[in-house]
Amino acid sequence: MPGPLDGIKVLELTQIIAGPYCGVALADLGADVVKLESPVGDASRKIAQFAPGESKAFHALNRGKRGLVINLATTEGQAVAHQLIPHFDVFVTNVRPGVADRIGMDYDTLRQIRSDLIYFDVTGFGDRGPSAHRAGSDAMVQAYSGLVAGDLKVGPDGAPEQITASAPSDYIAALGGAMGVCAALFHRERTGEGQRISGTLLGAGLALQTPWVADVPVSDSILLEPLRRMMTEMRVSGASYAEMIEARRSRPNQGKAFRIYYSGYPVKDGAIILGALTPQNRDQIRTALEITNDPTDNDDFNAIGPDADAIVARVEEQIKAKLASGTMTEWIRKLDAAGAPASPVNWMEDMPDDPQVAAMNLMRPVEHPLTGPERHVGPLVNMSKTATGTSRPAPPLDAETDDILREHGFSDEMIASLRETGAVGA
Amino acid sequence: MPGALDGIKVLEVTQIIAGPMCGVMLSDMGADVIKIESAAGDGMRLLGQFAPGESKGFHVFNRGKRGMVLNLQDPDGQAVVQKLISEMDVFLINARPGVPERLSIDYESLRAHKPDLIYLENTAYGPTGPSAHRAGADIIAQAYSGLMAGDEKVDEHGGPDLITATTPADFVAAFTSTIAICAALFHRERTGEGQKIDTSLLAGALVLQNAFTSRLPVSDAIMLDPILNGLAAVRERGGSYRELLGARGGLRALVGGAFFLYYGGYQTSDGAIMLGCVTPPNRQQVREALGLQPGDDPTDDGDFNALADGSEEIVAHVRAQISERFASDTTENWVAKLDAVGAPASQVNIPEEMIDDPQVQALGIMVDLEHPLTGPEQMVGPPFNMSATPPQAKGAAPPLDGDTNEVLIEYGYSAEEVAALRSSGAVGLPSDS
Repeated sequence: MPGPLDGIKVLELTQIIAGPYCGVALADLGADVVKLESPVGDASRKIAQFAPGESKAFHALNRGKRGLVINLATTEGQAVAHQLIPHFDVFVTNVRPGVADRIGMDYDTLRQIRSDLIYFDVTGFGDRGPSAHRAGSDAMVQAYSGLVAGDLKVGPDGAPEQITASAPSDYIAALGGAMGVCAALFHRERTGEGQRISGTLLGAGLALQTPWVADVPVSDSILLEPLRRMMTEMRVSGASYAEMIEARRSRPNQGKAFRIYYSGYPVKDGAIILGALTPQNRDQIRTALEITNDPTDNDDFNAIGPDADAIVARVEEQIKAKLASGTMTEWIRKLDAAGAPASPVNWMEDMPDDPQVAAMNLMRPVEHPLTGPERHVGPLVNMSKTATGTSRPAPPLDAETDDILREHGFSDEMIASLRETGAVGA
Repeated sequence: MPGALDGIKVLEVTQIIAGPMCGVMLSDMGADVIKIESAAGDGMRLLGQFAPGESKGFHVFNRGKRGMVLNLQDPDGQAVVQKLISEMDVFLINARPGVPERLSIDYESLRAHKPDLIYLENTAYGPTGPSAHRAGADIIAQAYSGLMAGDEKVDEHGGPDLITATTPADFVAAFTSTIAICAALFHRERTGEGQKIDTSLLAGALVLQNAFTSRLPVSDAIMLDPILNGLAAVRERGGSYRELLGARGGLRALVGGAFFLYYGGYQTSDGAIMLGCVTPPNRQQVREALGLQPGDDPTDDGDFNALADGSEEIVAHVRAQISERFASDTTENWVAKLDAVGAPASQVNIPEEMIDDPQVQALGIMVDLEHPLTGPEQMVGPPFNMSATPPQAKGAAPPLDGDTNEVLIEYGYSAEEVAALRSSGAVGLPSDS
């Protein structure tokens, strides 16, 4: 079964996560993806490398691609890249703003060579505005976009902490790019027209917080405006980051009652998570836990009233004591039986062998030419008529440069002389 | 300019975030999206409502759609879906497994009326496997997938803590669903063939930990196996969640401690700052801006061994020096100094204030909408631009039952038929509500 993007050719000039993961998503949908690297290679090759130039992150974020090394700092190298462009449907890049122009890989240059090219670029902050020129990475955008402060993250020394070891804005930006590319392919198929898609990590960070970043004046006058005033006053008075987060944490908040049933608790032999979203879910949990005196779902309960915090704390205490009296397996069985959403807290390192992950075929095996067998998180989706997923590992640096150039019309002599001058190859 | 999905018609039976957000993105790209709700409405309407049945969450995850109320327990309500589906391109649902079959809106039932339909079903754990039937939510996927323990967050009771107030698994599932629908539209355009797409919160959560969940035996022998053995030992003696985290965290800190010196937050004299360095040149830029001398920080030297005895003390010593420098000046000054050398750094902003941020305004990320019941609102628009087919927010979220009549009439029902369906309770809200 061919993939939905079968026959589509993608050239990517990418690094770290946001660009590379977009390439993985397209490769999983059947596109032929070629990763263009400088002779130094994508920097993620060196983050916790376990063999020279090979890291687990690079392998996971570049599987399914072939690799090509071109030195775009040379005019000869740029000429080689430009000779390849007519063969490609899609170009993906996440270099810093200004870099693509400097090395002749910007949209206007490339569309002169292939007019219906689909060009996706993702940067930290976009191509205009006061921060357009700034370097961007996920941790920075977590902080800039409000994700870090919104999550009330404070480290032991009072400094802000990342919300997660994963890179949420990078991944959302990568997925947004893959979405834009697929929609643009559909548009090109209907009209013959190519286009530029541009995304930012900032936009991705905000997309993750849409309800908090939105302004809905009728709602905001009650809860949001007092909060904004408080933050401004504290800032003027010189409050520390930790003090501002504490003030934010302790303000009246409709969400506190919601959180007792949408939160984690210790159990006898580990921990458990409750994930109730609706009053029905909460009733199922109360049934399983035999909790009878919780007024927080009653119509007359005022979540921002004066007694609310004390009531919420009392119910939370009951749930905590109850859950601490049983084991993870016992509680999951009881909560499952009641139909309530609950889960053990698993370890990411155990996930490749988890029975549900195995049943869904979410881990896919590949064989790396240098470092042997591996298993990676597989395609995002299953599709009934078009294959998704890949069996190709991440490319070693420069392993396929010659093959790819030959395939696109370069003779062995031309390749040898380009290698000689340093325009291609590591 | 038309959107990339101009003319594409989408029917959705969705709730909370994963399904609704997919509908928003399809609408942003030009699709005509109709949301079907029961008379009780999407559960999201009740989460933090500020007017009856209207919440901020519902408004942001359903903008750009038209809304209708159908009673899908009633065969007459199901018949309405079957009639509408023949003119739709895409059907989108996120319900518990088994629900579509019970309501006769599963793939097989609907493709009988529209053979080239693109049908997307999102569930918590996926359609098969031992957990397929279980209830799910984003926080469940965070816990089940390892995201939560991987982030080593512990709350004040010693229980695991949410990694974030936002819902990462829901969002990734929404984005991947949209990607798959666009790819399926492209495939249909080339071949005429429709299909069924399955996505899950579990797969979404695993994607976010791509690099950690992979198995690479050559690498794992050094880095991962000792962690797994440590976890097994603690579990064996019945250790607590906090102890398990400790067993995992020790080695992780050792391997990654140096990296997080320049990829993490510090206090400044008037607030806080976040560094986001991922390369040695980035880290050198920071050292330069901070005035650290060669020799002050050996962690980027070729011969620094993160696993050797004493490396933890070295990292702690460097951290103390960096903390001290940042504490000596304001956030604004440090950001300016780090910008000047090209290093990635940011102030820590408050989400509710982002709407007025000059960069956000320059990019035009926020869109202005007018809700028929609750008035003007401003929210995050499409997170990317397209030059030929720009995505755009089409309008506010529908009030419950807001467009039922309009949609039915557009799809061939007469005014009399609509009235009859309303009085039998197959469509619309009960008349006493």
